[in-house]
Amino acid sequence: MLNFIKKIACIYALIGLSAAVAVAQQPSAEGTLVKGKVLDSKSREALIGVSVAEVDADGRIVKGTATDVEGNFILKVTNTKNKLTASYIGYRTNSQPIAGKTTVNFMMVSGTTDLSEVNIVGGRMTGNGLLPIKERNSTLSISKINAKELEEMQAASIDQALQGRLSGVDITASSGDPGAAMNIRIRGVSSISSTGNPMIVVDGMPFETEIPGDFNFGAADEQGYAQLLNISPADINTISVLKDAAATAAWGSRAANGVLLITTKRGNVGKPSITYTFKGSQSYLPDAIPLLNGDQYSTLIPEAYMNRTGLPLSTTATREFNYDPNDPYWYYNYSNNTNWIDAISRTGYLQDHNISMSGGGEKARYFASTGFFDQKGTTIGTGLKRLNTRINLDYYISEKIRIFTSIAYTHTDQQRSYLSSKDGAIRGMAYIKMPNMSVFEFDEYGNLTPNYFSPVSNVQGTYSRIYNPVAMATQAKYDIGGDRVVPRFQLNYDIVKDILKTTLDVQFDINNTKNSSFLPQIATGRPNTETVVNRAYEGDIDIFNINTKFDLVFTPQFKKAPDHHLITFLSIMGADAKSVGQELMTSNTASSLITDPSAPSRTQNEELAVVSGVSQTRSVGAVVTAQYDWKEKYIVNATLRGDGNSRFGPNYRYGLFPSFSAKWRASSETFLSGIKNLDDLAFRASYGQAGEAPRYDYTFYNRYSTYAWSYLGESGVYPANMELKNLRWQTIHGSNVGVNMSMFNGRFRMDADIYRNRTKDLYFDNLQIGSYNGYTGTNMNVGTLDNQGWEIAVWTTPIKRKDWSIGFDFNISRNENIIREISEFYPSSKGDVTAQGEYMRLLQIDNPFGSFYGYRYKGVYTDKDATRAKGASGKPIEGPNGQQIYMRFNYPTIDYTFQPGDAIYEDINHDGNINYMDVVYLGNSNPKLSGGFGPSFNWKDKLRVSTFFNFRLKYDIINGTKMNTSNMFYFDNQSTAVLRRWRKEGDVTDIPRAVIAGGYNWLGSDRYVENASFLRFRTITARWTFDKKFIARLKMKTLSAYMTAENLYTFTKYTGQDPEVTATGSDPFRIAYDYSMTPPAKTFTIGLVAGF
Amino acid sequence: MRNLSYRSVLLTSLIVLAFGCKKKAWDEYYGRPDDLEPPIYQVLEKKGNFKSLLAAIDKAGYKRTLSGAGYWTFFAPTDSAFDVYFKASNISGITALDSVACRKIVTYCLVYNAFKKERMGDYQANTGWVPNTAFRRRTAYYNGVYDGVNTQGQTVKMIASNRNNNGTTFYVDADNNNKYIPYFVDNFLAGKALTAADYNYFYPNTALTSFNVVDAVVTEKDVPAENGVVHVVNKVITALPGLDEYIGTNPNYSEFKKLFDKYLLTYAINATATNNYRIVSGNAADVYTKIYSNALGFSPNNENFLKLTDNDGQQNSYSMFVPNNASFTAYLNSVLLENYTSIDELPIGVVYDFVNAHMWLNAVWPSKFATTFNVLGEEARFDPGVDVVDRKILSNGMFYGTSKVQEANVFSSVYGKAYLDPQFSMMTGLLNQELKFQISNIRQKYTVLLINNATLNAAGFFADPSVDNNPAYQWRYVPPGGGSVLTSSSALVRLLRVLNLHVIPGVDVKDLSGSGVALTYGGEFVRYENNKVWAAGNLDSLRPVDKLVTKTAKNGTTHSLSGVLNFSETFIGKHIEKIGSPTTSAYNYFWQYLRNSSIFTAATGDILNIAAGTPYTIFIPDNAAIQKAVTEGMLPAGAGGVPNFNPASLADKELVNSFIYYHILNKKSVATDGQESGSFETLFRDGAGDPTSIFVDNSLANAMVLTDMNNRKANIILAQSNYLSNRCVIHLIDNYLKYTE
Repeated sequence: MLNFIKKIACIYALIGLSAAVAVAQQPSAEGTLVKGKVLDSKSREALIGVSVAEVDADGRIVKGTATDVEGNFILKVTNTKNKLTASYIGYRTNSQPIAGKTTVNFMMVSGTTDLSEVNIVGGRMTGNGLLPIKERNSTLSISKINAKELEEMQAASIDQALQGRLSGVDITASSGDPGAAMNIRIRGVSSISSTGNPMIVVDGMPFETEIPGDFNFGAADEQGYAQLLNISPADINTISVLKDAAATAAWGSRAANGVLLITTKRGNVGKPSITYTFKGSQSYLPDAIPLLNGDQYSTLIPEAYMNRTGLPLSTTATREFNYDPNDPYWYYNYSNNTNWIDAISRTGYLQDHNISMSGGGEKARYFASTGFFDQKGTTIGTGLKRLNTRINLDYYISEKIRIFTSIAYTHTDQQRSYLSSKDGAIRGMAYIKMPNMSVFEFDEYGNLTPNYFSPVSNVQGTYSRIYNPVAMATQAKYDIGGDRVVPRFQLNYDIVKDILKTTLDVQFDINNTKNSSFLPQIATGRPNTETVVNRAYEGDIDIFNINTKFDLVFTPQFKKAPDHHLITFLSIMGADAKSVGQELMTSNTASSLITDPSAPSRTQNEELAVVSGVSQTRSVGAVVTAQYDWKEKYIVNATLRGDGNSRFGPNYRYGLFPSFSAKWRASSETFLSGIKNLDDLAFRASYGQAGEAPRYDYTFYNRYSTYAWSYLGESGVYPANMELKNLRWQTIHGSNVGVNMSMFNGRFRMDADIYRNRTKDLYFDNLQIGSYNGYTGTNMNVGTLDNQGWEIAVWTTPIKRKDWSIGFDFNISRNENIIREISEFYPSSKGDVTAQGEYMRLLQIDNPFGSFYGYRYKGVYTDKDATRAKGASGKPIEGPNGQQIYMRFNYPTIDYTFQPGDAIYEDINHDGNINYMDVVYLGNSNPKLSGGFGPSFNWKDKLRVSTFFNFRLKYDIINGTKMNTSNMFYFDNQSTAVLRRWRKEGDVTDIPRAVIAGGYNWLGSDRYVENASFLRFRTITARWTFDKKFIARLKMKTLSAYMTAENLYTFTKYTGQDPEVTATGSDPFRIAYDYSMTPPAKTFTIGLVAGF
Repeated sequence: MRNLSYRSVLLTSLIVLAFGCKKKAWDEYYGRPDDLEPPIYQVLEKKGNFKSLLAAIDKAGYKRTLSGAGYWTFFAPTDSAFDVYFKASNISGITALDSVACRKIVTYCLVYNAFKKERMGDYQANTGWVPNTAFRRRTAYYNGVYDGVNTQGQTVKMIASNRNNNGTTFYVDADNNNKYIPYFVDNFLAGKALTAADYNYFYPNTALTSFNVVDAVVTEKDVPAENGVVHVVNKVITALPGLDEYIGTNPNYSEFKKLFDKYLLTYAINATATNNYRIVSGNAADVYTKIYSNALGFSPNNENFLKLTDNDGQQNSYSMFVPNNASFTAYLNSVLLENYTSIDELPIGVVYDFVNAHMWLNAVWPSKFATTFNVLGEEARFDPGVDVVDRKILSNGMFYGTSKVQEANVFSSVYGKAYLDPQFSMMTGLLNQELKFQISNIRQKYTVLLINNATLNAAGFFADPSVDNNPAYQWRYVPPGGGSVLTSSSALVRLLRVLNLHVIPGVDVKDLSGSGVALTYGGEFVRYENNKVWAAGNLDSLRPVDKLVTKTAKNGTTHSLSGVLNFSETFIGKHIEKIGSPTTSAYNYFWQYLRNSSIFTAATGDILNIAAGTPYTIFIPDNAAIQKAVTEGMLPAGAGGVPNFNPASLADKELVNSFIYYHILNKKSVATDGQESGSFETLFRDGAGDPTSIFVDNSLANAMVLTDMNNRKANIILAQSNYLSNRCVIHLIDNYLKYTE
């Protein structure tokens, strides 16, 4: 904290200093009276209330007054060398030098358009967020997108809309529910322990998106905290992605996974302009995987059960399949054809209103917005409401001093399912829930009651294995309320105009999140002695972040050698993050209506507890950058960043990370100047290092914990973790080679990059070590990991006519993840091929991740004869005495003899025994290529039709949903594919017989491996911009309306719900399992943008 | 640029192509297969000749179920089967049947789980399929609540027990007591070694094929359907009655049924069934469970079999042989009530035993009467061709109506003579403790000496029910001559030793007028002569008892006695003293040697190495034989070759001891009953410490020849032998027995 105070003090001191300098610059002079009149230039009428001001050479207002009813003014000016300005709403600001005059008259010109919009920079600016550099001079690998391109999509947060738009940026949703967080991966995951999410930078200051790792909020997972929600997409101006290490290096340790730079809209000089935007959308879930209805299910289960040994279901113990009309309670409750998916689904809708006002004069500019967002998810019980406001206020005190301030307040209220997707969310339950069961309970008379049918247990089991998903969706709650206030102050001071500038930044970030959840008895059905009944939870986390930044930019001007350009830059950043969390979980409140854990209730088990925690993290960083170019042809950039982080012990607390990049603009060379159509061709190369700090605080202390129990009132103490004094920075060494090209007057532009990000001193949390150490695991720096690949982005306008044009943008990329070195403690393989549904994965040094191995599925044994073991010659194998030998599984350990109707696995070595020796390579779940493209059509700037497709090609995924909906191994519902299961000798089919808890019919085999290449018609938008004359008649500035359809169609051969599956997590054994039960909703949006 | 346009055209066409791919792949994978059969109801509809059955299904409320749900085996009678059925039962058609009747037809032919014919013969044990053992399957039909008459004659709502009463459980809530349907497949019959004769015994009018269901023939088997398998049958099968229903409604067995009503049934309010019944019927009546006594082998109204495993009813059923009224009454009066005036007076155990004798926990196939055993462990004692007048396979068992009763061993054996006579009730009670099952075995001979209650009381034995809940510990013994009263187990032990003296296993002593000795159950001998009987104790007290009445049973004879046979409490040495002391006694020389030997304790009569409670036999050579032994140096001689009864030298003393020990059989009593011969161990141990033996030839009654180690013979002098001592018999022999050292 002391550090922080020092920083603040320092900042104020600097402000004071600059103010003093400003005062000192004012020349002292006697007051001179200047008078004048302000008239309209056309009507010659006097203008009343025009503000007239004396402005000094730096553009700073010294004194001001307003005109009277006759348009006259008198002002006592302090310096006759200054200027007088007159400004009035609806008129262009007029300025005249006093130059010793005592009468200055103004003729005001009315103007509906903005006055001299100051465009200081001569080209599009870009940069790493710290140092603005002309885009064409940037040596870095950066993708940029204008938020305008995304505004037609319905999205609560910007990441949703960004999917597939940027090359090298892979964004996947963690769930389809409103407000769910997205996984953002920039050029793959460079770590095997962290979340891999990139750093977010808003208007040049870091924006925290992670909840500290130590907090464990009830049933929620980290995905539940979608902090990007706190930035309203409507406020966003541009988004850039820093991809290569040279670009991210400047941002230090948190930028190791890439940086997403977001700039918000700011005010421009001009009359106030009010913009109202509206978006309304409806989402429809497409048809789910067809599941068995209750009748078909009631045939399957007794059959599957009897197939195990021959013992049938007991009609006494299991009355769910008796279908006895004389037993009304059981008959009515268990003879339904319930579509649980439909029962928990609804049409989602969304409304999003935004009003913003922006404008300003030469001195002050503002952008203010208020938005209201309300979304109801397609799953009952999910929704998101958000109210956000933002004011960006810029004040130009003088030409030398500017203040930029902003304050943003966001209030979110998210309702999600009680269980997260990780715990088998409600939709997953709806898939497996027995469909002959009723949603609501029928009483003994056979009358439908309004009570949810949640029996204590039935053939499928008990909570938490099974529950009534409708009751869970409607009655259980999980609310996340968030309030986040981000005030931010920036001061710019040009010490020497155009040569030496400083910027001071302070950003406060007050982020409160409150979770409350409640699990009612009517959802679990359990007796009220158990703690899963009326379980109430409240958790609160308050995070207070302070970020400070001090920049110094030195741009020496070489007047004698104008071809040389140099920019040098120094930045010092500090961050302090403090969080306080409190949680309380109790159970068995008196009724399902009492949802507050502070009401009388029980704290029985370990999980029912009162917990609180405090943590604090600090980091400091300093960056020095120099960029030099000669004629904008040869450009080099060098950056050195020093980092310090409180998560390390003293030995490795500080790190130094250099980076270097260069660009050669070949198109400026004379030998290429002959190519007429080539606008620009530049080659880039970069190398950089970026350090990453661990996720947890205080690991360099040997901390002690107490046991949860006590003896004689004393509880024991034990060392909780090893003291990690030598935990080091995980460092990413990124190399990047790229090219930028622009042709045909910008009608064809291309960026291409090849990169390799090598992560050294890779972290791994809780690596298993010998327990003789006293601990079972520890966090370590374990190895080296590579992410390598390439990406190409192309923007074209192939056809351009007078009235219409067609555009076509395209991006494609490939990424590979390879382990180069790993600790000997790290396991080398995963997956037991003798267990059902498991695939073997090997960690092979120098091979890409994501390969998996298993059996080869060859169909179903039609009859007893088919199960005979056959040798390599195809002839049946016989025993020594001529006895028939049948195929076995994993002899001699398991020694299961295959039965007619069982799955056939290819006997690779023809030994009549299916075991690990028959395991073969089945596929790899990393896409060879992924990307997107979007043709667009524009007619007279009135009608614009834009489309966007995204695709991933050549990758194999394991269709876990197919596995779970066709294994017939549990009492769970299955897909209609099992209707063609093997049922009697001679059946020729691809689905084996149903066997509950028996057989080996769903071993990891290529039966579930599918090529998931797809091309998705992501969006199509038609936008109509109304004619200017028409708008003028409505006294409006702009008016446009649009319609968007999203996820209209996915082209794939994949038989699962949605082929867009990535391997989740950062484990090197990760492979893509598709357990997604629901394809992305088809969403139709209408929108309106109106400006006044 | 043109390239790009071409590309977009190409792309569009690719998209169209891909669209087709996806849809096709999806439909192929998830679509309903073309070869999947429709559900049972639609299969029958499609076949066309099941119109009556379909109408019945509609009426029974099963249309919805059979049109899709569940997993069933359905025995479907054709329209022509229905026509025959209507004609036979004089019904105009399906419209004349109400929903209850339709349910009886539809649900009784509806078996849980689908079985093709090849699986019908297999039993679904907890461990898995057991091939060729099943002939019954549980159906969807059950009776539920019905009107029945209780013990008081009132008509009330009743529900059957669905478990055999074990004293605590007789009803399980979730179990509807579903009926089973019997069927006959070839592999089952072959596995059980049954033939068409067994089938046609019950169903003479139906030919046995490879697949019959009750009396119907399966004309088309294994018709597949989405939710099960249909087997077409050529007769309408309606729900069969259970044993309880059949006996209850057939007047031929009303007398037998009265036993149930009066002694073996109770009725208890069943809360769950009452609740369910009220809900379904809207009627406020209580429902009573009809509970059969737990003394019975099973409850005839339980449609489940033993329920040791869930499906044990598939492979077996109960059987009952029920005598018709005439045969039952005749047996009742002649046997059971021989010594009683009415059933009420009979011990209740008699009723239990009589009824249990007619109950089998097995299916009794007609060809297997002799090898199938009832609850009492006895085969069916009927001639299937003659004694059985009514035969049915019912829903929970096989029923045989008979023209004679099953003669239970407990009634026809010697046990029955005590069991069915109130004056021997104490004796019966004692026999029940251990001996009941042995002496009621009609394949073993027994002679039982009966003592009536009064005699036992006179001998000092009586029962005092006030002292202990356990009948075994209620016995008291008050010595008639005074002395300490024995209670609890001491009294019981004494009484059982006495009782054992009255049971002679293996021998049917028809007549006590002659003379003889007999080994009783406890290993002690009794002697009889001229209708007087005595044991060692009676000899001590000089009080032999008189035989009163002799009765003949299937496995022997009973003789009632005027007094109690008693055992001796005197030591063997004292008995030898008693018979050897007189100098005139032929035992005298032996006694003299014994008296002076180092193994004898004069004060108590103890002989070293002879323990109490162990049987012995003592062969005493007469004086002449002793003299001979002395002469031959086997015993110490005095001056002049006369016996030296009290030698001084240790060697001589040892000679005496060895001689005596070689004349005593260790742990063995033998007498001249002509029963047991063999080489028996003596108390004498040779130099190596090994036991020695004597060969006893007891092949002829009233004569016994002994052969010693030197192959010398000795004969019993009968008149002075068979002297009963304390678990010991003393015989006089005409030659001494020579051991070889």
